Amino acid sequence: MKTNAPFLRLGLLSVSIATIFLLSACNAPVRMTEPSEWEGERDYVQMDRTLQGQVVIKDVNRSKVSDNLLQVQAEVQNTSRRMTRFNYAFEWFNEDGILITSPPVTWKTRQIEGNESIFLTAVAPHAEAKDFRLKVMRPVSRN
Amino acid sequence: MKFQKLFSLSGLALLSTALLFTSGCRSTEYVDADGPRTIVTRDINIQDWAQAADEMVQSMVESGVLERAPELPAVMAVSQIVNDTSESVNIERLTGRLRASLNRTGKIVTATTIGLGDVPDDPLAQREAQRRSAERPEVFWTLSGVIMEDNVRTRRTAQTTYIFILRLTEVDSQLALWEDERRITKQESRGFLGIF
Repeated sequence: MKTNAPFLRLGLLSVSIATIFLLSACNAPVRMTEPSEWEGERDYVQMDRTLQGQVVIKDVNRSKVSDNLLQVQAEVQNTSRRMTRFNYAFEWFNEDGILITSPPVTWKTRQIEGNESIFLTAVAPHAEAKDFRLKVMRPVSRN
Repeated sequence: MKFQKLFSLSGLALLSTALLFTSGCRSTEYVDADGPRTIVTRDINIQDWAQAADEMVQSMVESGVLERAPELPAVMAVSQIVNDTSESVNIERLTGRLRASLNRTGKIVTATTIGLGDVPDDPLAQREAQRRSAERPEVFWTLSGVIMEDNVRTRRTAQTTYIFILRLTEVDSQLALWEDERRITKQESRGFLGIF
């Protein structure tokens, strides 16, 4: 019986490795943290649920610059002790609530140290922008 | 004994098949060019151009300098923007987005028939304007600048910083009434096997 043990172990090892490879096969690029549901009490902030407990939007202010362009500032705080990264983007809407598609929404990445607060600012692309929405999500991992 | 041998052989066969599957798979898909799924590299890439242009326009607008022009929109011509990086890139990637964004604000329009070294963006428009003896637009602003690169490296991490410096010169006074700098820094860490 003892002499058969190496064969058995080799077989088990091979099956395990094969399973790992099969599971990873055809799966690239790996997608992580797809924000399945947005949340946020105010409709002008959409926060990825996976950032909950780590990143909070403390305050949002709006103003006007250059006479007629909407300016927005959001205070973001990392409530954890670890540095974290997040992606964010501002969407702009005209007075009828229609999304302004030009220029396209640009996602940017920021990092925030533990317990740090930072400000995200943006200026509307043109005077027709009367409202906005801030979207925050965890960076997407690719391999 | 026979069963165990067969089991190990089956395992090896399965492993080989799995390896074939893993190496044989390839997928290509569309991603949003301005979205978060674009590939991040240490080189200057599409996200960097977009970010630099957006932040520069935001800075220009917030400074209030654009209202200094007696008439809005004021005419701007793009002057020299030096690429002082190790990469051969078309500066239009920056200026194209920047000009489009400035146009949208309603504060600036770009002259396409006036260019550095008399090389305009639109030679046909220039030729037609000359043929009709049209008046050249009065340029109020010129945009110039430089893009630089700074590389540092430790044993395990390589870091590249791209420095964008832009200035807006009022032609009449020949003074840079707005100037700003943006830095984009990227780090690449050495992998487990010491290969970048």
